[in-house]
Amino acid sequence: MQLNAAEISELIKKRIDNFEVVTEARTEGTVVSLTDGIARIHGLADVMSGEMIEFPGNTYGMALNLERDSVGAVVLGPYEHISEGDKVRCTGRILEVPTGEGLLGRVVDALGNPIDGKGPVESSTSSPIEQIAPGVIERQSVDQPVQTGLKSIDAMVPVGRGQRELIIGDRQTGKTAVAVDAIINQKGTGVKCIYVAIGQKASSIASVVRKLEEHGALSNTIIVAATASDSAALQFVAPYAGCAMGEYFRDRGEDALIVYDDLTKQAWAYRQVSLLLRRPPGREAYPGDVFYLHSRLLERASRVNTDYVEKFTDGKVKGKTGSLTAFPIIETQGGDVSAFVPTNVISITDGQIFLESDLFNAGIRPAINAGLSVSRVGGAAQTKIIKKLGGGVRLDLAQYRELAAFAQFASDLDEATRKQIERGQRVTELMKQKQYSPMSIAEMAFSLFAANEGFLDDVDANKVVSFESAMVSYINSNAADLVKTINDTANYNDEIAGQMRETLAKFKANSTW
Amino acid sequence: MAEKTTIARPYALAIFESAKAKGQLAKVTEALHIAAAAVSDPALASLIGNPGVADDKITALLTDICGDNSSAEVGNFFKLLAEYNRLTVLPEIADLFDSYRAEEESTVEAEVISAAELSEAQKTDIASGLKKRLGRDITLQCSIDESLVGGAIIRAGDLVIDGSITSQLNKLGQALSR
Repeated sequence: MQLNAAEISELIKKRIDNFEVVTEARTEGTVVSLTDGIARIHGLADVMSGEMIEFPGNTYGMALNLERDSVGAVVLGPYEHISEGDKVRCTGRILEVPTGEGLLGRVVDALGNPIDGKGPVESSTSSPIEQIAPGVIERQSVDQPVQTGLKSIDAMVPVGRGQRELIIGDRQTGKTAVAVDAIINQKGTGVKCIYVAIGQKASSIASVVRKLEEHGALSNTIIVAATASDSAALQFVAPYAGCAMGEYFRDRGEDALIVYDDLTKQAWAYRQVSLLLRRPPGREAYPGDVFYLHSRLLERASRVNTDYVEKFTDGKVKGKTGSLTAFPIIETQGGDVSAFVPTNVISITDGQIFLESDLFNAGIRPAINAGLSVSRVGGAAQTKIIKKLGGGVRLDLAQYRELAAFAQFASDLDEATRKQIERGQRVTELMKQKQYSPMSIAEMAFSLFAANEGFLDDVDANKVVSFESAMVSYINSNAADLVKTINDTANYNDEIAGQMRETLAKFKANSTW
Repeated sequence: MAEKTTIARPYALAIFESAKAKGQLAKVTEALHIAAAAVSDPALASLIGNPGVADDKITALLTDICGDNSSAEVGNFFKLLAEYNRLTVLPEIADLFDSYRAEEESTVEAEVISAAELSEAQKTDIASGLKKRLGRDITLQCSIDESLVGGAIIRAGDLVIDGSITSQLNKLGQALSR
């Protein structure tokens, strides 16, 4: 954009005209001490809890502890330039972040400032980071699916729009990979995604951003990053900021999906802040309100009914429900799900996807433990065809787990047991899926159908993966109409079953794998 | 400082109640301020808590420098503080005492920082405006800071009313750079 001097001065003139000269009345306090990003402030008699306060040098903080003689506040961002005796002002506002469509495709910090070097964020709205979740009357039950594109999840632990599904597992078990695949699969579905990275290496965040960009999913995704080098206060605030950005879409009758990667580190950051504020430590040195920390965050992920959306938008959006689906991630230590934070979050969420390092190392990826992973509400939202076909897979795997120990005595076992084991081995193989290769409903349906109907029984267990990929490319080129019907309607009846059976028979007769 | 205030509060409240009952508010205020200044003095501060110096010597000294303002109550108060090793919180006690007294007498001290010398008319204007707003009698303390360019800043307790040209220029700068 080229501007000449006259235009510039015209612009400045306009801004000066719009500038209101008002005498400002505010309350001030004095910094008494500043330790590890926690400021104790004398004065500020009428500060609100959670209020944004202004330090010198355009730095902001949040008042957390309101005590009789002082206010304990966290500094959001660098605090080296603040010194004892500095004046602190109240702003009268709760901490806010920018929201809106303008954030899509951007990487922002926990306060909504862009950090991707693409210039300022264009957003006209902002919203407080802490908000009360929608109430009982404003909600609607979960009945639409979120397709993650991972067949093991969509078949066995289906996730519905507005659900909170925990992804839990040790380090290096593919938790982030599952979440990123789910985000990639939302491309073109109109579901807006928010990826909140908390306490991660900046390099990991950069690689997630790059992957999303490569797969064309960045344009409908907001990345909120509080890296390991950001202050604990920012890491604590980041999930709430991301949630506020997601609520923007939910409240306007759209669907959004938010990934908190990961809440363990947020709890650590909050523990640090709390201990420095001298709040009494409890179990594992977490403060007393660490449950509420996560429950109030996850409660905001919800499906809201048309009345709520209509009321929120003043009648501009009619007849649409909104949803915010949450994928919180929790990292366990040595598979210990009975630690404090994992049990808390398990009890808050509507189910969990449990990833195991043993499975991961055995090459079963995604390393989902089918026995411990559950979805408490997703079943109502599952597409009809996957629901019909996926039930068998769960059963096969459950029976296989019981018998797996006998697998090495295969020759001594009776026919039925041996069959069961072989079916289980093939289904386990079938549930493997490469990263960044989400499947459509029809592709999943064909895979599951092949397993259920015994098309895999005469395929070598170690050939199942190549069988599946050959089958997927076959059906996409030779049965495009059927694939399209399934993807569009997700319906399942005898006619479709017949067509699928016919297609698979043809494929097996004519192809190699 | 915050912790010291917490410690000082019950002492300040006690001496205030006692002074109020005896009608000696002005005298006790003076005495506390003198003693507070004394214990802040590095020479005396080093003696407080020094095992080589008996507590009654220090309290006697404090009562002494308070001179006319001293009374039996004040003397006993110093002894009590010495007994509990709280002589060092005297400055906080004096501050709190002042605020209790201001509350009691419904007055407030306001600091006015202006760019130029204020005329008497302006001062009464400010005082009456503040009285209306805060509902208290105002004691003005004026000072001059030329860096404000124009206007004035008024501080009364936590409240700051900023009508200076400098802060408005700063705000204009922020609005333009946005």
